[in-house]
Amino acid sequence: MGQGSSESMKTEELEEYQVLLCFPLSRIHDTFKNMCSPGEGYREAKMTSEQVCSWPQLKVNPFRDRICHVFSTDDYFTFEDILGMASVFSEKACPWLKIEYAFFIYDFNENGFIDEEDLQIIIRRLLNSDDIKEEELISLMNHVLDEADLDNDGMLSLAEFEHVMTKSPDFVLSFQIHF
Amino acid sequence: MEPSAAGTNGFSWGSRGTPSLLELPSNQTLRFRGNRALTWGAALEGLESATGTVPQDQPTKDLEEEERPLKELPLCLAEKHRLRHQQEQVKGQLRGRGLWHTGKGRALRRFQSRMRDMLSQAEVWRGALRNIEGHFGTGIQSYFNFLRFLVLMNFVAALLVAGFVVVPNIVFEELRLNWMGDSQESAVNASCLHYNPNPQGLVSYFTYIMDLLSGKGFMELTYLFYGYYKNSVVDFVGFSYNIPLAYLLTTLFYLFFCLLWVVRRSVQRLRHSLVTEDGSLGTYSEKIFAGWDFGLTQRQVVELRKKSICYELKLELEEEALKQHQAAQTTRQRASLYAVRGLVNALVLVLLGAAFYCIYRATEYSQSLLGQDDSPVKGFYFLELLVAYLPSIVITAANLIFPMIFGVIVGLEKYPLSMEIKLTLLRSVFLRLASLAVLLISLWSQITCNGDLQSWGCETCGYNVHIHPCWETSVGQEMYKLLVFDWVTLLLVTLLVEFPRKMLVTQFPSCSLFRLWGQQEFLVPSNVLDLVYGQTVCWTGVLFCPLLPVLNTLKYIAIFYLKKLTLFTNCRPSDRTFRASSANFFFLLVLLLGLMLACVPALYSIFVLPPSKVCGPFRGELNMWSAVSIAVSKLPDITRDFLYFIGSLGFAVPLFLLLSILMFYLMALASSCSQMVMDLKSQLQLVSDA
Repeated sequence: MGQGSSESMKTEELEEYQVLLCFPLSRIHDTFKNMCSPGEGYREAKMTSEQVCSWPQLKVNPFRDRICHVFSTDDYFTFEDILGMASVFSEKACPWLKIEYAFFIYDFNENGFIDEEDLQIIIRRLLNSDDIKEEELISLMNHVLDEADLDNDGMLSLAEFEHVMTKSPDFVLSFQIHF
Repeated sequence: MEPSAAGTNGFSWGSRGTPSLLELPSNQTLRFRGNRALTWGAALEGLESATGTVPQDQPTKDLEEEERPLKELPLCLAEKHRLRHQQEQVKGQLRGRGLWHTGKGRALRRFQSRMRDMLSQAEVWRGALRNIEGHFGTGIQSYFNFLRFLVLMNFVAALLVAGFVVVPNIVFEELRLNWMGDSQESAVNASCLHYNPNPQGLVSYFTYIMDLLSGKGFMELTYLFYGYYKNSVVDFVGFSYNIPLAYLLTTLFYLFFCLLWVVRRSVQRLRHSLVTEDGSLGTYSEKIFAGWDFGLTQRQVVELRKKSICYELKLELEEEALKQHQAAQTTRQRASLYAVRGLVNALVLVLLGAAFYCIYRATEYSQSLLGQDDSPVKGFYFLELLVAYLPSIVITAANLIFPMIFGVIVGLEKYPLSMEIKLTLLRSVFLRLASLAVLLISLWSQITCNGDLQSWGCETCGYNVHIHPCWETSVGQEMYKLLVFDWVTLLLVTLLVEFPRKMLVTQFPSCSLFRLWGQQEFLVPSNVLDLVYGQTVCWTGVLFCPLLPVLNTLKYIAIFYLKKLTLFTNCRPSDRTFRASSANFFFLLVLLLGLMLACVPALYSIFVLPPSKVCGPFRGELNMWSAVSIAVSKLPDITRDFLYFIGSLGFAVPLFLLLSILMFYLMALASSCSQMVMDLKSQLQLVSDA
C-alpha cells in the first residue's frame, strides 16, 4: 500500500467519484486497494491489459479482450479507467449505459455497426466452434437481423441495438461483473 | 478506441437521429417510467449540449437535472471531470438563493446515495448469493433471491403479529392486569361449552411428543393457536387494549401488507418489459446478445454455459423447423393432433379429480377417526400420528407423483419444448393450490355439516361441536401439520435421496444404472413452487394460528442453508439454463394467486362462520367482524359516518365503475400503441429502401 497521506483519497475526491459513477463508495476503496502496488500512488498506477484480463472476474470471459480494449487508454489501465469499467458493470448502473457499452464491446471491427462479420464472431465466441455448423450459423445470423434490423441495411446500429436490448429483461442482470 | 472521442470518429451517431425512433410509443410512455427514464439518445443530447458552452442564465433546476445524467454518460472519467468542472464554474456564478438551492439539493442527494449504499451493504446473505451466481449463474441465484425475499417478508410479518397480538397478551397475563370480560355467557347452550384439550389421567412422555407434532393436547393451550386467546379488553393506565380487535385487525393488515409488498415487487420486475409493442420478444437477439452471463467466474461453469447456449440456440432452430413442418400439415393430421391434445387434457382432469377425491376422503377419515373418543387407534402412538398426518401425506404424495406424470404425457401433445415446460408448470401449480383448496373445503364441510346448519350435529351451536368443539384451532392445527410435514419431507428427501444419490453415482461410475440416473440437477421451477405452497399455507393459517409466520421464517431460513448445502454438494449445473427474469414474474404471479386463495377462508371465517363459543377471542359474538362494528360504533360521529359511507354500496359501485373505465382506457391505449409501432416499422423500411 502506498505511503503518506498523499496516497489516501480525500473526501472531496470520493464525493466527486460518487457523483460521476454508478458505483457504491465503499467499493471504490476496495478497488483502490487492489490497484496499488507498493511504492506507487494510485494516481500514477498503471496496469496493462494483460494484467487486467487475468483478474478472476475477467479471466474466463470470452469477450475479455474487447472489454479491456474498450475501457483502456492506449492499452493501459489507469485507476480512473478501472473505476469507469467497474461503474458500467456494477448492478446500480442504468440500463442504457450498459447497452451502449455492450454495443461498443460487440462491435469487433469498430465501424460503428454490428454487422454480419461481428455477429459471426460473437456467435463463435459464445459456443465451442465445433458445436455448430456453418449453415446453422448463417441461419442464426439471419434470424437476429430479421428481428433487430429495422431499417433493413444488414447491420445493427446503436439505436436498433438499444431498441432490441431494452425489450430483454435478462440483459441488465447478465451484464454485471462484481469488481 | 476511446469512447470519449465518439463524436469525432466513425461512430455514426447521426443514424440514431432517425426521428421515427423518437416517436416510438416507448418515448410516449416516458412519464409512466418514473423520472429517471430518459428518451432515446437523451444521454447523447446531454453530451452534445454539455460539450458546447453552457448558457450563463440557466435556471438552477436545469443545472440540477443535468448533474444526474453525468453518471449516465458513456464517457471516460477524464471527460466527466472536465464537464463537471464546467458545471462548477457556471454554478460558481450563481448568487444567493440559487446557490443555496443547489447546495441543499446536492446535500440531499449525497445523503440519499449514502443511505442507499448502507442499505445495500446491509443486505442479508449477499456474499452467499454472489457465490452462487459465480458458480451456477443467475438462473439458480434467482431462486435464492426469491427465498430471501420470502424470509424477509415473513420476518417483518412475524414481528407485526408478535408485537400486536402475542406480546401484549403475554405482558398482560404476567402483570395480572384487570381483565374485563365482554362476553355474554347467559344465552349459550351448555353443550357448546364442552372443551378440554388437556390429556386426562396418566400421561406418558410419548404423548407430549405426539402432541407437539400434531398440535393437539397441551399445544392447544399455548399462544400458538387461536383457542387460547381471551375475549377481553384490558385496562392499562388509562387506555384500554381491545384484544379481539387487535387480533382481527392485525391479521387483516398482515394479509394486506403482504399483498402490497408482492405487488410492488412484481411491478418492479415487470417494469423492464413495460412497453408491449408488437409482442415479438426477439428471442434470437436476446439469446445471443444477453445470453452470456458476465458474472460467471468458474471455468467449468463457463464451459457448461457455452454448451447450454448452444443447446438453446439449436432448440430454437429445431422449434422453428417443427413449426414450419406443422404448418405444412394436412387438415386430417391437424385434426388428429387436436384430438390427441383433447384426450390428454381430459386425462389430466381425470387425474386431478382422482387426487382431489383422495384428499377429501383422507381428511374426512382423519378428522372423524381422531374426533371419536373410542377410536381404534387411540393408544397406538405411531398409528395415531399417521392418521393425524394423513391429509398432509396424501397431498405431498400427489404433489410428488403427478407432476412427473404430467411431464411424461405432455410429450404426446407435440408442443414446442418451451410450451411444454410452461404447460407442465401450470398444471403443477394448479394441482398444488387446488389440493390445498380441497383440504379446506373438506374441513369446511365437516365444520358446518356440509353447509346444512340445521342438521343433527350443528343445530345447537351453529357448527359441528362434537368433532370440533373449537373449530378454529382445528383448522390451525391442519395448517400447522402441513407446515411441519412439508419441512420434514424436505429434510428427509435431501438426506435420504440426494446425498446417497451423489455418493452412489460418484462411487460407482461404472454401473450403467447409476450413470443413467446421473447426478442431481437443481430444478428451479419445482423448488420455487414448493416455496410458494409453503407461503400459501402460512397465509391461510395465520388467522387460526398466529405464530405461523414465526415458524415459517425459521423454516425458510433453514431451507436456505439446506438448499445451499445440497446445491454445492450434490448438484451439477444443468444443461439448460433457466431464464431468471421472465420466470420471476411468473413466480410472483403464482404467489399472488396463493395469496388470493388464502384470503378466501380467512374472509369467510370472519364474516360468515360463527366463532366457537368456548374458546378464542371472539367467543360469544355473532361473528368475528362484529368486534370491529362495535368498535366503529363507539367512534365519534363524523368518523363513524365516514366509515359507514366507505363501506356502503354508494361508494363501492361508483369506484368499481371508475376502475373499469380506467382499465378499458389503458387497454385501448396499449392496442393503439402497438398498431402505431407496426406502422412506424413499415415506415422505417420504406424510408431506408427509398
